[in-house]
Amino acid sequence: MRTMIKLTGHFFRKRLLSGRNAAFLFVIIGVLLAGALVQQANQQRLSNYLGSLDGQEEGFVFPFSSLHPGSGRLNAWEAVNGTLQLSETMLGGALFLLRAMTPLLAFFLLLAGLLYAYDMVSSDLETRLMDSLLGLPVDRRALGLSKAFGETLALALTLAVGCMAALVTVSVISGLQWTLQQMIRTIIFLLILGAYCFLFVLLGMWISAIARSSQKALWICSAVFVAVFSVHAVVENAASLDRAHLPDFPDLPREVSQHFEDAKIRGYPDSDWLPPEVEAYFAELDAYSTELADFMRSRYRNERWWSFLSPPGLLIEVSGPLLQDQYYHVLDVFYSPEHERRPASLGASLRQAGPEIVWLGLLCLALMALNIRTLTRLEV
Amino acid sequence: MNEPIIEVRDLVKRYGKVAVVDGVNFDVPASTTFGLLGPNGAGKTTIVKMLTGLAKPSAGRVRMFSHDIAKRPNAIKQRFGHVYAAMAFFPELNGQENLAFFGRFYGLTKQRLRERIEETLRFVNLWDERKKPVGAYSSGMKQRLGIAKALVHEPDLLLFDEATNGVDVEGTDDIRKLMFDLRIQGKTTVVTSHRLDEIELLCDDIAILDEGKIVRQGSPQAIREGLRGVLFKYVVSRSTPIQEEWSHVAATVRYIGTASVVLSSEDVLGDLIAQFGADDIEAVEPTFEEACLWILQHPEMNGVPVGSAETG
Repeated sequence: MRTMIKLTGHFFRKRLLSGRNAAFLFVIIGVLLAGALVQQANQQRLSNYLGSLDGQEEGFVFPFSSLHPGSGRLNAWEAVNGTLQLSETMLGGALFLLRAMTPLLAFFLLLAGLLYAYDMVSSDLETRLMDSLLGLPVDRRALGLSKAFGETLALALTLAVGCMAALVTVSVISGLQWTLQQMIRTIIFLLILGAYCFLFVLLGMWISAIARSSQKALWICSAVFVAVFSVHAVVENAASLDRAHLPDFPDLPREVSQHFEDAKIRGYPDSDWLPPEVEAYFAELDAYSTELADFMRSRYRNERWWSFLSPPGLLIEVSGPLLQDQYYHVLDVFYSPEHERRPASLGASLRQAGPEIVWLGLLCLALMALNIRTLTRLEV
Repeated sequence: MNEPIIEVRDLVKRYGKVAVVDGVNFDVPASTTFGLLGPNGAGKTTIVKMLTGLAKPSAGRVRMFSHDIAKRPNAIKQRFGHVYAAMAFFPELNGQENLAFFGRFYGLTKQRLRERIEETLRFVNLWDERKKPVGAYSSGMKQRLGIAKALVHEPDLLLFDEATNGVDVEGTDDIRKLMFDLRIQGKTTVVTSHRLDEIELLCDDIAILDEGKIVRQGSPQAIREGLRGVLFKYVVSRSTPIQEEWSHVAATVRYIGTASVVLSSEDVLGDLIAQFGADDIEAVEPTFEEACLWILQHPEMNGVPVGSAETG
């Protein structure tokens, strides 16, 4: 164990002080800052526009997140009467930025992990430094894992510093405040990002070991990046196809519409009595709601399983409960089981993201085993 | 007799169907210098890689310090130092930092490691350059640092694999001097090289390898003497052209006013005398280099072990 700590410390310092790491830090801050500022500007624009409508525009339905100084809010206007139906402080609050950036991070870290690791073994083989390293009286498993841990620690630390720098900057600019729970959730999410980086560092390292040439490894890693990107796109589209078969919204009968028009002019009666046709329409709406909720539940379940095929999808899925999902789709606001069972506590969030976190861990273990097998058989 | 430090038995290494090492046997007793000699591709480096655990044998056995390298690699690695061609280090670290990195895995106390770093850097004459990043070292300096790295944990055995390859003349001379000093100190050493002068100078016992097999083994003197009656050398005191098309002329070397002719049979001696006269021809002992070249050029005459050591 002491040997592993010594080796990990060495590879960590070596990578942390490298030019590649400095470039990564610069890029991650730049990308997150730019992305977060664009998000904020978009949200503000939407907020201003919808605020100006003041509930007068009938039939307008759109959920959106607006950033007001001090908090992020989730607002949604209802379809039929155009009033603001939902306006609550997003549990994510300041975390909204990190959540919004997660899809970007998912691909960026895939790329960064592969770029950090593609020459981890091959360059040592090319320079013959591997002869000296494997000549040490150190278990090859310890050597290989220390290299992977050292690289991942450097990458994860740089990422954490970059994320925090970007988030704090945006928070200061927009006046967002952080609660203790938000800080804890951010730290946990950064740890999961570290595991996600580890996955791709291990993948890059394995490619580096089997390719035995940095140039060849770089080509293979590029192909892997494109492949993961493509798989994710296919998975996303497959999920969207599923979503396309939404049940039709019940048509509003003319007499029901007339009833509401009349009620607006004359005022609503005090009694709960409604004309039979309106009662029937409301019953139809209730049935539609139930059908839609079931549909959304099954869609979400399908989408969630699809995401197990795509590592970026996994990360995006984990970020939902952990950073408090922000809903982009109108149906999600009203019918998503996520919305119905929005986790209140950190434990509940982690339980909800549990399968994805476990799967991420299993993928890391599988790649660790693959690397150990390759390194113990490696001949120089 | 003490148990040898290295015992190699029926060692084979195949890459696909090609056997680059094919049934090699040898022993290296303590406090001796053993040389593996042969042309490029003969299998010298592959043997050293199997000795150091960097490559796994396809068949056969390597025992070092009475342990099988396949079973106790780390215990054995504690006891040897390895210098190879074009030694690589962490270029961003200086010489002292590199030694500290590699040295700390051998169980030395911090104090002892510091002392050993200083001792070895002084031994290889790099103490004054210890703060320079290794990336700025010349190839000769890197090789000397490699020797310091191999010595830092006070090993019982040193393996020099083509240690002077790619090093300039001055650097080569420095490294040879260091290797010679280690021999004087009584270190057990294995040296591989395709440089015959280097091997002859350093080794007590030599195995000549060709195409993965040991073709001769013995001391340099024994290898030379083993060719007595087989290989002849004459110095002709006039630089008259030698008819190289004569049969059995193994080599000729011309100098100003003289030429040496190495013959693989005395049959052509009569022709030499007829051309130059008996007074101008002097019989001398072929050099070790000439003997080795003849051995490698005449595979049909090999397979005859020379000296006392076991061969394959």
